[in-house]
Amino acid sequence: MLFNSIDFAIFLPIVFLLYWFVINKNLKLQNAFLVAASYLFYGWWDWRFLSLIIFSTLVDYGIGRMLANEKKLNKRKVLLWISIIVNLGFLGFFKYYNFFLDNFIQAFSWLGTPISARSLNIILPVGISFYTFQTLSYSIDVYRKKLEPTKDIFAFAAFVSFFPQLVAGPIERATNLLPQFYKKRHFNYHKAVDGLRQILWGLFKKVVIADNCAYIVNTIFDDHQNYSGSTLVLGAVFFAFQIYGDFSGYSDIAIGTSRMFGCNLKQNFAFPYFSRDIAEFWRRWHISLSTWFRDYLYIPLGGSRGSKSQQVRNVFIIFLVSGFWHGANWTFIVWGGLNALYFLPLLLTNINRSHIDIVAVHKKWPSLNELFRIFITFTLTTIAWVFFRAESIDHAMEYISGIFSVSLFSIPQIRPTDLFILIIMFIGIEWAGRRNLYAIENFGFKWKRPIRILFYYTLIVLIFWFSRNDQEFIYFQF
Amino acid sequence: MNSFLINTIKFFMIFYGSLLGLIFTSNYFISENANFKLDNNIDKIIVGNSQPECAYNDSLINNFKNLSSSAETYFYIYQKLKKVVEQNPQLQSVFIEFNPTNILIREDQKIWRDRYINHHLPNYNAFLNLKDNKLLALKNIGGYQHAILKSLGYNIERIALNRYNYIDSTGGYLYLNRHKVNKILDTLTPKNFNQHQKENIKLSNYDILYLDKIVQLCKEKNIAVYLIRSPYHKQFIGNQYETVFQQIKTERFNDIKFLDFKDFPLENSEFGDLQHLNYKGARKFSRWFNENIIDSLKNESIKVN
Repeated sequence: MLFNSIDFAIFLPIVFLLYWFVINKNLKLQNAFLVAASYLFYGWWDWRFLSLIIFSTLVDYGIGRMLANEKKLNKRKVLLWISIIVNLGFLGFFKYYNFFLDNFIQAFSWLGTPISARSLNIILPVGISFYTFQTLSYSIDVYRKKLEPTKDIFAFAAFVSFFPQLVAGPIERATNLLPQFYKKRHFNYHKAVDGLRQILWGLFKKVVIADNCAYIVNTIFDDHQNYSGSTLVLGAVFFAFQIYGDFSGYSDIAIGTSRMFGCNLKQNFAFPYFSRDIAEFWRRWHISLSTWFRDYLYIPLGGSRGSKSQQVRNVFIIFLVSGFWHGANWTFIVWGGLNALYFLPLLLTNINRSHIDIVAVHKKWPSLNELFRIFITFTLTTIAWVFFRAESIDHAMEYISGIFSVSLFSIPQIRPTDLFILIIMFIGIEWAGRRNLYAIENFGFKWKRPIRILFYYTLIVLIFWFSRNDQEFIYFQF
Repeated sequence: MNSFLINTIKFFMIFYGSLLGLIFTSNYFISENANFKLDNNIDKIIVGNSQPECAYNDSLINNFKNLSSSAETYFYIYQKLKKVVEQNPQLQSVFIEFNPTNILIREDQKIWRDRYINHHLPNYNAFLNLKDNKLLALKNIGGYQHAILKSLGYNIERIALNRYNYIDSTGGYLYLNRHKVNKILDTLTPKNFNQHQKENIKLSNYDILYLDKIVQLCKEKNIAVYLIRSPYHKQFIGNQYETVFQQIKTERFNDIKFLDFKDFPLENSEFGDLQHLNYKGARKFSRWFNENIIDSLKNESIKVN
C-alpha cells in the first residue's frame, strides 16, 4: 500500500479510529491490533511475503529468548550467528542472488572458462532491507546485553512490522521502538496534530517535489545523448531533489503516522542539502541507516580508532556496504565508493566533525563561506547521485561526460518554470524550518491562525494539483 | 480525542466546502458563457477520436466542421455535443465515428484513467451532470480529485481571461505529416485476422451507453445522425473485432444510418500509420467525401451500408 494512494487514505482513518476508540482497552489488544493492521498493510502488496516477516519475527524472538537464558559466550555467539545468517540469508537470496550469479558467470568467462547457470526470476519483497536490519539490531543488542530480550511476542511482532515504517524505514532500533510497545499508548492531541502536519509535509515533498522532478529526470536520463550539457546538469540536480523529496517525504509520512498512533520514530533526515561538507551530509542523510552501519559495522571494525590506514579501510567498507545495501548493481557500489573518496580528505585532516549544528544556527542567513561550502557539497553529492540513478556504470559515465561539453554553457532544452518555482519555495521553507525536526514543525506559528490554516490548504491544493499517480517511492525497491 | 476528530473534520469540511463552492460557481459561469457557436453556414459536424480528427480536412468539405479530438470517448463527446446542439439550431447532421475499437472495454478506461481524465475533464467538467461526476469519482477517485482541481484552475483561467471559446479548443482537423505505414508493415507479418467472438472479448459497458445518449440527444433535436467509419489500413488490428462490431451495430444501432469507408482506396503513403490518414490521405478522402457524400445528403439519396 502506497502512502500516497487512495487505499492508504481509507486504511489510515479506519485503523486510527479503531485503534483509539475500540482497541484502546489494554496494551495487548493495542499491540495485537497494530500487528494485524501492519500485516494487512503489507499483505496488500503481496500477502505471500508476509510469511517472511512472520518467520523473521519468530526466529529473532526465539533467539532473543534463548540468549536470555544462555550464559556461555560461545553458545551466545552461535545464536547470534543464526540470526545473522537467517536474516542476511533471506536478504542475500532475494536481493543479491542474481547479481552474484551474473558476476560469477562474467568473471569465469573472462578467465576463459565459461560456466552456465540459471538465474532465477526473483521478486524482491518490499521493505526486506529495512525490516531485516531492524530485527538484526534487536538480536545484536540483546547479544551485547544492551537490551533485555522481550517476552512479549505481540510487542516484538509490532516492533518488526509496525506499518508506518515497515517498507521503507526509518530503520528503528529495538532500544528506541520496542519499549514503546511495552506501555499502553494514550491519545495525545498535540502529538496527533503534529503527526498530521508532518504527513502533510511528507506528501508535499513526495507528490509535488519528487514526482514532478522524476518526470523531468526520467525524460533526461532515458535520452541523455540528445540533451545539452546544461540540460544534463539540470537532470542531475532535479534527481538530487527527487531522491530527497521521495525518501525524506516517505520518512516524514512514516514518522507522522507513528505519532498519530502514539509512537515516536527517530528523525531520518535533518536537512542534508544544507550540509557544509560530506561528513555533515552523512550525519543528516538517511540517519537511521548511517547510524545502523556506524554502530553495527563501523565501530566493531575499529571505527576511527587505530592507524590512519585502518580508518581509511573502515570508511571504505562502510560506504561500499552502504552502497551495496541500496541495490544489487555496480552503480550503487561506485556511488558508495565515490562518497568514501569525498569523505577521505576530511578524515585524514581530522575535520570530519567540524560541523555538528545546522548551518547558521543562530543566524537568519548563512555567510558567503558557508554558502560556498553548501554549494560544493551539493555539487559533489549530485555528481554521485548520477551513478545512483544511472542504469549502469557506462550510462553514468556517458551522462557525466555529456555534461562536460561546450553545450554546458547553453540554455537548457527543458525549462519547467513551475517546477523551478516549487523548488525555490521548497528550499525556502526548508531553510526557514531547518532548526526543527521537519520543516513545517513550527512554521507559521507566529501567524494568525487563519493564515496558517490557509498555508496548509495551499499545500493540499498543490498536492492535488501536481499529483502524478504513476510514481512509486524509490526506496521501495531497496 | 473528540476535539481532535472534530477539528480534523472541520478542517477538511472547510477545505472541501470551499473547493466545492468554487467549483460550482466557476462551473456555473463557464456553463453559462461557454461559446460553442459554429459559423452560421455550418450545418454538419463530425465527432470522434483521432481517426476522424486526422481524416476530415474540413476546409475541403462544404458546410462541415470537424470537432473530433484525440482519445475522446463518447462520454466526453456527449458533454461537448450537449452544448454544440444547444447553441447551433442550424445543425442538420451529426456524424459520429463508430468503428471496432469503439466497442472495446479500453474505451471505458479512457473515460477515467489518469492520463485521459486529466486531459479531458478540465475541458468538460462544467457540463457534466451529477451522474457523470459520480461515475468518474467511483471509478478513479484519485484521478478524479486531481482532474477536478485542474478543472477549477482551467475555469478560473478562462473566466479571468474572458476566454469562453470552446469550439477551437475542444477539437478540429489534425494535419498529420507522417508516413509510417511502410515501416510498420516491414515489422509486421500480413494477417488474415481471426475474428474474435463476443464471448471472448471485453466490451465497453459505459462508454457505449453514451453513444446511445448522443443518438437520443440528436433525435430529440431532429438532427440526422450517422454512424461513420473513417478509412483505415487493411492491416489495422481493429479488423479482428469486425464480426463482433457488426453484431453490436445490428443489435444496438440498427435504426441508425451507417456510412462505412473502411475500404476507401488509399495508398500506403496516404496513411500516417495503420489507423490514421496523413494529410495526403485526408485531402483525397475529404474531397471525395465532399463531392459524393455531402452532395448526396442534400438529395437524401445517400447510399449507405
